[in-house]
Amino acid sequence: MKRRLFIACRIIFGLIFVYASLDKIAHPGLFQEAVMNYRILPGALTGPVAVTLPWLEMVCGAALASNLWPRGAGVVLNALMAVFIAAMGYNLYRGMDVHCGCFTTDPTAENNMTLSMIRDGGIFIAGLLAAYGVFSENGQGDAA
Amino acid sequence: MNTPETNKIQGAASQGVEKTADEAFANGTAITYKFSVWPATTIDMTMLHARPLRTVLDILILIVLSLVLALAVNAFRTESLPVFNDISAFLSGEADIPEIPRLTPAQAREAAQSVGAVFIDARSPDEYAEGRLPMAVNLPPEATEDEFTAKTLLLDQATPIIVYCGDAACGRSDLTAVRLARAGFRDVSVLDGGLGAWLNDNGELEPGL
Repeated sequence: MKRRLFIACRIIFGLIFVYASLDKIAHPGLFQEAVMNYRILPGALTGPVAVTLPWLEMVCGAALASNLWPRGAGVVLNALMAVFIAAMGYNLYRGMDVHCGCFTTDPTAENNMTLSMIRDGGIFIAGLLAAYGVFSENGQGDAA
Repeated sequence: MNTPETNKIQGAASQGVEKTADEAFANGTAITYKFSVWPATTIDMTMLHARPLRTVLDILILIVLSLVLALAVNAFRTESLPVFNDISAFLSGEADIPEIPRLTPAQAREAAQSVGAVFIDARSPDEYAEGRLPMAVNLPPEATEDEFTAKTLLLDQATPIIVYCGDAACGRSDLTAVRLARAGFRDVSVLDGGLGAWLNDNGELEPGL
C-alpha cells in the first residue's frame, strides 16, 4: 500500500512538471516576462532562465514519471519546488502579488499568489514522498 | 551518525550491527537503521547512504540533457531569445541590460511636463485603444523589429522615455524598457505601478479611439 503511494506520487509529481513546462516552452518570451515580474533575478539572467528552466522541468519530470534516473530527477524537481515556493513567499513578503507563471504564461490569467503557494505546498509534499520512495527504493516500480 | 575516529555508523552499532561506513557505501544500501519520531512512526535512514555519487551523476546528465535541448530549440526559433549575449553581458558586467529606474506617478507627470518625457504604452493594442496616458505611443514587447523601428524612428535617443503597462504585477513595461535601452535610448524609465498607480494618483487619461 505504502509502495503504491510512493509510485503514484512519483508519476503524478513528474507529470505535473511535464504539463507545467509545455506552455513555457511554447512561449519563452511570455515566460521571460513572468520571470522578470518576480524582480528577483538580474534582467540579463531572465532570458537564459526562461529558455532553460522549462526544459529542465520537462526532462526531469519525464525522467521521474518514467523511472529513468529517478533519484537525480527527484532531487532536481524538489529543489525547483523549494525555489519556486521561496520566490513566491519572498514576493508575498514584499507585498508583490505577481502572476505566478507556474502553469500558464498568459499574463491575463487569474492569479492569487497565496493560493498558488498553498497549491505548490501540496505538490511539494507529493514530491518529497516521491523522493523518499525513490531513495528508499520503495517507489521505483518493477524496474527497480 | 558517522564518527570519523572509528568510521563506525553509530545507528548500526546500536542495533548490534558492526559495519564500517566504507562497507555501507560499497554495498550501496548495506545498513538499515531507523529511529522513532513518534511511537508508531519510524523513519528509515538507509536512503542517506544510497549511492550518492550515482545520484550526482544522474543530476548532471539531466541538467546537460535539458541544456542541450533548450539551446537547440531556442536556436531554431524564428524569434529566439539572445541567451549567450545575455550571459556574456552578465558575466562581463557590461551594462548591456541596464537597471531601469522606476518613477512614481508624480515624478512621471513632472518629467512629462518639465522635460517633455514621452510615454510608451507596453500593453496590448486592444488595451491601448481603450484609453492611455496623454500622447502615449503603443509599443508592446512582442512588437516586430519593423514595428519597433517605425514607432521609435522620430524619437531622439536622448529623449526621456517613460514606459508603463497595466499595474504593478505586469512585466511588459520592463521588457519594452530593456528593448529600448538596448536600442540606444539613454533615458528610459518605468512607471512604477503602471496605469493603476497613475489612476490612483488622479492621473489623467487620453480617451479611447
